[in-house]
Amino acid sequence: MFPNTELLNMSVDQQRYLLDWWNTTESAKSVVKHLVSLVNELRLHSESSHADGMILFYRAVSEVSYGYAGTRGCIRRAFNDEYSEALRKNMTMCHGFASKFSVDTKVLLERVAKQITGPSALELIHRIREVLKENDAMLHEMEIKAHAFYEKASH
Amino acid sequence: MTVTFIGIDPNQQNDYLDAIDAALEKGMSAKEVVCSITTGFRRVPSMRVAPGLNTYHASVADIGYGFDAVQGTIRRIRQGESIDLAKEMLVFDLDTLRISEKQLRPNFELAVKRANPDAFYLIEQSRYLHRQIFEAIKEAIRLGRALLGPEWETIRAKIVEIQAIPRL
Repeated sequence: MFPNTELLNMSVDQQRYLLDWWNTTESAKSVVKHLVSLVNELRLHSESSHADGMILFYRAVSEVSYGYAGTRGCIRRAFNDEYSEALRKNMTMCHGFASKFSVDTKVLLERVAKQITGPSALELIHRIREVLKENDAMLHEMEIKAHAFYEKASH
Repeated sequence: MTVTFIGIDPNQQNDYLDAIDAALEKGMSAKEVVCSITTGFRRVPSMRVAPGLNTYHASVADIGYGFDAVQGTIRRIRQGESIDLAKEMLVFDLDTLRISEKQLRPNFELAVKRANPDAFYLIEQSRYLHRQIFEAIKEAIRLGRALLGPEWETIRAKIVEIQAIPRL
């Protein structure tokens, strides 16, 4: 256990809100998988593999994937009798990773896009932009669910 | 309808892809919990500035990314998308997972070297989850190699240059 961590009880209501949050992460999972697959296609494509900014770009995407996975890992642990103040902070941090690095991903994508002229790679860039919009929508929805859970937890 | 890209019977190809997907799915919850625990390490006083923690975090993120990439690509193929680089993507992602997994454990052991006993439970849990992740990757690679045969090595030689891009 983490230092100075006491386990907290979850009420039935809190568990319901947490499950609701979990269900949103299920949809988010397919968005992030699609995103990562497209990004790797861009990394491998001969029209884009050597574009400036590509390394930082995919690293930012890997942190988005990490943030989503971490959030889900935290929810799993909360349901598995590890719910504590430390885990609550941990959840917020993981969601924060996904949000912050999604912004970086968008910035870096446009930097990478500047180097690219080939039609296939440009098409991939277009598709990545579209998936990033879906990703923003997912993050927004997850944040609403997270807030609902935290509100419930603090009353 | 799934497009065949390997030149084998489409049903056989799909069986392999589904098996690779399932192999990684078995390691999925381990991967998620490891990401959560790694984030928590950043708040443990005896570990937060430990050498190795950042590289360990990077290895964990690389592995998570690899799992998502393979499953994402398989879903696209299964949904009927024709991807010119499908084979390259599968070899690239699976082989990169192999490398990241190799880096995972040494980075982890460095990061936890001076941890206090209050973190031991999570450290032990991480080691246990690493083994599950390792098994999932090993099985997925075995299936990928079986699917592509000798072509696996030919493709790997082509993608190695992109793969060698180091973590900063």
